[in-house]
Amino acid sequence: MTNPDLHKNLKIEVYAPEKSSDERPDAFASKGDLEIWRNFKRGNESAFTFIYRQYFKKLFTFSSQFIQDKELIKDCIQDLFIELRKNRKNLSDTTSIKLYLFKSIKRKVIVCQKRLQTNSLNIQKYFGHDFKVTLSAEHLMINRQLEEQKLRQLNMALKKLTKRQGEVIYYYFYENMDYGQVMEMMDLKNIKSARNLVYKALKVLKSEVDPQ
Amino acid sequence: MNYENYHLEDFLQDEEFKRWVQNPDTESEIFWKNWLISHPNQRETILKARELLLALDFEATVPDEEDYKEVLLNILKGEASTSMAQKQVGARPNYFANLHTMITRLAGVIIILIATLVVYIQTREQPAPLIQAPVKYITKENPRGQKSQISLPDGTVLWLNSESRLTYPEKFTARQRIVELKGEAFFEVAKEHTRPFVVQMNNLHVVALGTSFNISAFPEDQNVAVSLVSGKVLVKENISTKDLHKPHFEDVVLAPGEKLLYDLQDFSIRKSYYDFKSDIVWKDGTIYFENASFREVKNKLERWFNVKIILKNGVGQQWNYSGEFQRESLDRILQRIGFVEGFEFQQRDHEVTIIYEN
Repeated sequence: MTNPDLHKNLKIEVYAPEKSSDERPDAFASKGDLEIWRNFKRGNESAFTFIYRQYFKKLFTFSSQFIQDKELIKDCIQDLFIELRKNRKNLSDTTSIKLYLFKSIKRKVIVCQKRLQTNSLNIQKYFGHDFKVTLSAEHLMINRQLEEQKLRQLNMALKKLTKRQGEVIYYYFYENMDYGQVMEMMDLKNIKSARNLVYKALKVLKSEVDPQ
Repeated sequence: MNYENYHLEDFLQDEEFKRWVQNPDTESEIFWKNWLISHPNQRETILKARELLLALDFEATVPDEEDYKEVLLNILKGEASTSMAQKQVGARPNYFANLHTMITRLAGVIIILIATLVVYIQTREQPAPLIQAPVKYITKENPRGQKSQISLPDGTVLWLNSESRLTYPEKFTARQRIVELKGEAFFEVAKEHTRPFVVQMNNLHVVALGTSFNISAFPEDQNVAVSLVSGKVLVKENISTKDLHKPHFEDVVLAPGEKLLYDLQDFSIRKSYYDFKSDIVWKDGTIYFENASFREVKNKLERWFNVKIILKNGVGQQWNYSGEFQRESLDRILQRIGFVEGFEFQQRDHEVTIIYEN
């Protein structure tokens, strides 16, 4: 029943519990973005590793909204970081590494997507997930605040969201950005436009959940 | 803020509310929990808004550990060697040299085309499903006398004890990994900083990022026990508007070595320290007793060996048994316990009778 190798690994973990596995030993975990970023620019490789580890998955998931192919996404992220490392001395400062990376990867992914669309191999795998919002069935196992009937309506309503509304929900709710960051991600004129966009997306949901 | 007149969408648009749901800190926890207590009429709206926020998810392609390592390695090498420009546009000689990858890619393209067609035809004919991406669930269940080791799609490994059941989705979503447990299991959760691993039980759920811990949640036991070996976990009570009358507890963070006991009768909780031997060695095939009562010994052996243990006489016997058995037969174990506690026993099929001869 027990795989002997696994058994061995487990023993090591068990007898060294003080080395807790998900606590970040990094000196950067408690530092602000600007400081981490400046460290990275100065050539500090722990700062780079910290940034990479924090954002690799987020950037990957986000890129897959534009292109689904795993290899292409990996190429984009790889190129982004290689460029950043090459030009690190001349990068501008930022107080939000996340916003900086998200803006950069979006630009990169869109270029890649456009190039592919003009290419003859324009097939399904180069389409993205297109910011399709769902309500995670898994999550709803936990709290069960909403009855099944409501859920059905909600999921129908979510299908009515446009890609742009989906994108706004992605930044504002899923990536937890503030209105200012949403504005930058979507190239909007001002914060008010960002608020409006969020409001319109929510109106679709509101009419289903809380009709008054 | 005048939250009293807020509707669902007002809460969702409120950055402070959102911050509390997604990135709670001490201040926001104190504020919102107290606000909820002082405004019970807004409780349902807030819980609904919270649930919506947490359940919002996106269809996405998720990287695995290998992707993470591969890209990191390439970045450190500093070569933009697999860049898409070369792969797709430039027909470089060494690209064609690798005929094998060409064929694999071509096959991939054809498979995707066929799959797309199949999916298109199917979705055209079927009515829209309830949840957009229908999730398939897998259930693994062990009867008495059987234990098993299970690997989950994210690389998490767990040992499922006898008379226990685990349900998990065929594929986890981008946001979290949720499994449902009845009975006992030891988890070694694959480390993923951005996707929490959640074990859902009847009354509680345990949230972990990358840790090893044991959960014992047999409905017939008095307590649910969560024992943390390494890392950090959060134990949360399932909240629902239906059981407002029930006493609630605040989320509990466990540190390595700690054990949380949740009483299934009065819903109270107690923190203590676990004993590695008595709580966790089961998964390596070791039975361990420390000052165990007759009932504890009986429950454990019954589950382990799929037998029924009957005490014929000697009802008043006070057991205080300690001992350790590594992969030994029931017969041998009973002989050793019997020697200490002074009883004889008979086994017929799945029934063991313990007899005291005074």
